[in-house]
Parts: sequence; structure tokens; C-alpha cells
Amino acid sequence: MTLAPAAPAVLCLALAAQAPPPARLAASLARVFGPGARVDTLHVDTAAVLRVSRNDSLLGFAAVGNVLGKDQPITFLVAVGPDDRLKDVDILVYREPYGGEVAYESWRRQFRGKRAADSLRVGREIRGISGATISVHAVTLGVQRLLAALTAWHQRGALR
Amino acid sequence: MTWRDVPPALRTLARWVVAVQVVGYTTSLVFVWHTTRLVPPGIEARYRGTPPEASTGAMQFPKSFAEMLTVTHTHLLSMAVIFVLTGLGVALCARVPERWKRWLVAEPFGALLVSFSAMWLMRYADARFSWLLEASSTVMAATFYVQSYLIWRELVGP
Repeated sequence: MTLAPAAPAVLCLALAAQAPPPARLAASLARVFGPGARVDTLHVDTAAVLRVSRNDSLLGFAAVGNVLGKDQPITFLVAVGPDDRLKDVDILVYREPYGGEVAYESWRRQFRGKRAADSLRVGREIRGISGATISVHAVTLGVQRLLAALTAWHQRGALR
Repeated sequence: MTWRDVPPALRTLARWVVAVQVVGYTTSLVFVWHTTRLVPPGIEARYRGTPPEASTGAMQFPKSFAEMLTVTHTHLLSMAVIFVLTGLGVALCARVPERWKRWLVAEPFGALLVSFSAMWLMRYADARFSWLLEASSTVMAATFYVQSYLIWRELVGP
């Protein structure tokens, strides 16, 4: 299955409580892993994880998470490589009137290359954003948790 | 009609409204000082953003169109209510000359329109409109404190 006809896999994930639009998710995966990659959905514990590969070569895994901003959930994607390093974070749906700057590339790129064991503290390793304090803290915490979960699942062999 | 003709219970209400509004307005100025240092370069950075590599502190991005709309409508409507209350208070003052009353009542509404027009012009046209925003907001704040003082003097005086 390539990214274009990946609708079933994407739809599975879209059934989660706060799911992103399938097209948005597919576009995000294409941006992070490159176009034309194959996407399969794996179910680990109660979560859905996307396994991304191309020509039988594993590119990495991705998962969608939700964190509460000031009032509304922020839906985000965390993508990791086969080496458990974070490839990128993407904000899939931002619903609040303020704080949407967490979707900007110059803020998100701070997460690239991080591992689950790395410290991710706002104001230290991760710079804050003026006017988006709540969203910055929420997304950072969400990324930390999802990165830890993906790493743990991968290391125990649940993702392969 | 002046404050002398107003029933005691309404005068008490007015005193509390003035006190709470002064605390609230002052708090909002402290917030603006915290975010912009109350200077045009700080205001420009807040609304137009700064390059991420220009500093090591919190990043500042340009305000989005939706944020600009939210800031504008919430402030315009809520501040209009504040100045309706202080304007009514000034209109009832016996010791303020009529000409001054009219100016004090009208000035904040004009300043509100100028300030928020300057904010949009600064964001999308030219950063130097931050100076107009600073000047207009300063005059508006000064008028608010003068209004509050005049009303308070009328309510607690003999």
C-alpha cells in the first residue's frame, strides 16, 4: 500500500477520539517520510501505530496523539526512525484561537533527532513561544510521552 | 443630574466599579509591560514576530489573521463597555466643566479606533505604526485614570 491508496490504514487511525482528517495525516506522512511510502497500521496495546516502509525497507513508525491545550485537544503526529530517533513532529489539527504557532517548522524542528531518554524541558532544551505557552507545554509533554511509548514498543519487539 | 442626586446604594456601586476597573486596567498594563515592555520595538516584536535565531529566549511569531481578529473584537467590545461606565460617571460629575466632560467622554472611543487601526497597520503595512499605537494607547490610559480620579473625587468628597 502506498501513501496515495493508504485510506484504510489512515481511516483506522481516524476512528480514534480526536482524529485528524485522513488527507491531512497522509500529507504529513508524505512530508516526513517522502512520497510513495507504504503505510500499514499496527495495533499495539490499545494504540494504533503506523509502520512506514518503501520497497521492503523500514523507514520508521508514526503515531497520532492528542493533548489538551487551553480548552481544546491538539492533535499531533510523532514520527520516529528505525533507530528510535524522532524524525519530526507535526501538528495535524489545532483548534484553539491562540497558540497555533506550535505548528511552525522553526519550533517543531527542535525535536528532531531526540531520543526517549533525552530531556525535553520547555525553556531549556525546547524554546517556548511567546503567546503560546500552554500549547508549547502541552505539545512538548505529548511528544515526550508518545516518543517514549513508540520507543518502548519498538524495543520490546511489538513494532517491527 | 449629578452624583449628588444619585441614591446612596448606586453611589456605593459606582465606587466599587471604579475601584475594580482601576485594578483591572492596571493589571492589563502590567501584562502589556510584561509582553512588550510598553515600547514600540516590543510591540512590533509581539505582533510581527522576530527571526527565531535572533534570540535564545521564547520565540515570537507574527500574529495570525485569526488572532488579530480575536484580539481586536474582544478588546474593542470589552473596552467600549469600560468606557461607557467611566463616561457615565464623568457625565454625572458636578465639578468638571461641561467642555472637559465632553472631551473626556469621547476621547477613549476615538483612541480605541485609532489604536486598533494602528495595530492592523503595524502588523500588515508598516512597523512604524507601533508609535501611533503607543501614543494612542498612552493617551487612552491617561484618560481612563483621569476619569476614574474625577468620579472617585465626586463619590467620596463632601
